[in-house]
Amino acid sequence: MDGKELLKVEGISVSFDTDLGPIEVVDDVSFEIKPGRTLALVGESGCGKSVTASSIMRLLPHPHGRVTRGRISFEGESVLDLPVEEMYRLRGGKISMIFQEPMTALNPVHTAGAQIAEVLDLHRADIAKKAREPEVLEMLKAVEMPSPESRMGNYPFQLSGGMRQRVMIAMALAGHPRLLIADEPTTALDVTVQAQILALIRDLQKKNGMGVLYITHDMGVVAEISDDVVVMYAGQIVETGAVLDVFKNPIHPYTKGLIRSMPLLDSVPKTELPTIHGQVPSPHNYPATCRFANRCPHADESCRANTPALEDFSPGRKVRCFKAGRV
Amino acid sequence: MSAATPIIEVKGLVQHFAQGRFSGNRIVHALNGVDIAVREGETLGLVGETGCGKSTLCRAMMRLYKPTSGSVYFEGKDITKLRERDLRFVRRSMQMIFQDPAESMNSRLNVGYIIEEPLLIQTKLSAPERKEIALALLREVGLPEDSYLRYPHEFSGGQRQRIAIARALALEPKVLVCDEPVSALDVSVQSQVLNLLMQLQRERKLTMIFVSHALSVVRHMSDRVAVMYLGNVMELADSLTIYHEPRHPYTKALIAAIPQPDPSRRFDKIPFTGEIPSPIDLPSGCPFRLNCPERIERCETEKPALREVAPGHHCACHLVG
Repeated sequence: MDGKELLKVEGISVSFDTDLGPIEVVDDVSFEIKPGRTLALVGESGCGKSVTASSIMRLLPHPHGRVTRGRISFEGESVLDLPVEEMYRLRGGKISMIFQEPMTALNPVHTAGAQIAEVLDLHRADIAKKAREPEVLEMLKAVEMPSPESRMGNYPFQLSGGMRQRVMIAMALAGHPRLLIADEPTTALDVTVQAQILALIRDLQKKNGMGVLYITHDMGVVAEISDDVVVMYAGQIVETGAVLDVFKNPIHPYTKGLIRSMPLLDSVPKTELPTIHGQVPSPHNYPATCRFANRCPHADESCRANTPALEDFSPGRKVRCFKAGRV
Repeated sequence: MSAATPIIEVKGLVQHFAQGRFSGNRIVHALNGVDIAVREGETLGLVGETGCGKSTLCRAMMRLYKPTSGSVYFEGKDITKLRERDLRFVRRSMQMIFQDPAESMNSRLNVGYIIEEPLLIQTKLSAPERKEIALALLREVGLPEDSYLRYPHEFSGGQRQRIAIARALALEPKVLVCDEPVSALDVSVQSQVLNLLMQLQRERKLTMIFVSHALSVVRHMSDRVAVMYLGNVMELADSLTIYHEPRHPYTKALIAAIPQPDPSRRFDKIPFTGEIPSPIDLPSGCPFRLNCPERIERCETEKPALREVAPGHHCACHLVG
């Protein structure tokens, strides 16, 4: 598979049925992930980043959420056309996912060890029943769980937030995934624990060469972990590129705003912070024109009248802005 | 009150909470002897990991708890033992905003009532007078006047936090305690609320206590920062000193873990802090010694006191100073 895409998302749109009629929450999103690479999907709540991830796993709420257009291929196979039984094998096997709040994602009435063993049951037929317990222990050691022998028998409530996240990562890795989808896995954690979990994901990826789709709203985390960045705003991609390029030279006014609006360690304390004016629009009334126009400091008449497309800006770089490179 | 009198001071503050009989009647040692003074007009930042006692310290300073031992002073007056009735003047002077504004508001009441309620309780103002104050506050926090008759669910998270700020300011407090005020907000809205808080502080000469786990936000907002660990203040200095010349091994680890939006500066070594010990069974000696890379024998037996190691720079470590 070297050099080939592990995951290819091509022009997907996702709709939800609501009381006020169907709304399109993801509009024409495309990206690809190669083995061993990390792609960060960045944006604020409601921008469609988690919905995009759920559609890859075919976990959209049924029946009111659906992919209306586009194609998702994983190792060359079209995920959206796979029979349900095949999806069971894929989820937790070749593709696994970790979530923001491990307390709600873990089962409170099973021990950490039992929950990891369950993944082995489902996805690792090569491991004999007797070999499962040592394998669970290996998994806990791989995620650097402190005193793994005794933690195996603990229930989630007996573990700290960082330890729960380690259990969840161990579960996600137990099926030897080719792709790990991480949906804000460190948002609820302290910075010290966050740093450890980010380093852990990086190390594990180096060892097993999996691709990682990392979803976050935190530009600091993006800088720390990703190779490539996709910035989403109001259901659309507004900018993509390699992480160094995007941070060094953000093109879209929204990306610029995101990077600038958080205080840095070299800012002058108590000075006014740059802001993005206004607030995120609701999917019920996404404008038909540029969706960022009413918050954009550079918007003019043409931005409020026409719809910008996601266009190539420079090699490896795409931007959805009429004024790309001119503001 | 002389200029040197701190507006709030706690001395040797110990706050224990008893867990119920089903948890074995154990004691949670939330604060273990905290000495800290808040100067009038400053912003004091409190940082530390989950469970380090920063929220407990805020609430204890506001005398929302009865301290296990130690004392709390407000404008030089000992308020440690005051009864609730006698605390009314303190309640007026110290107000608080919380992480999730939606949860701190009654969703059945309109915004006007929410903002006026403190006035209703603490003052004898007439209804038109209260309304006038509420409308002025709405303008001050940047909300349209027609918000007065609307309900909290009609507002976004950032706007709701503005309503919470307006309510906190209704009684013209001297101290505003902000406990994770922007953590629940969208990134693009956070800086708007932070700017508003800084502007209000300048205009109203507020003293602020600012708690957040977002360390770079605390750095930006604070004059001085206290680093807490397991119910103790480990280091206290002005904001820039804490972030750029930390002395305590724990502060160093904490600062090293802040992710920076600069991919060319990825942290190469992982901060070494392990699991935090339980506040039920405190370690002997220095609270940080189990995770400290620089520990010596003395750390096991003797708890380091918070000492001044440079002018205005306090640190609780045997190896510093």
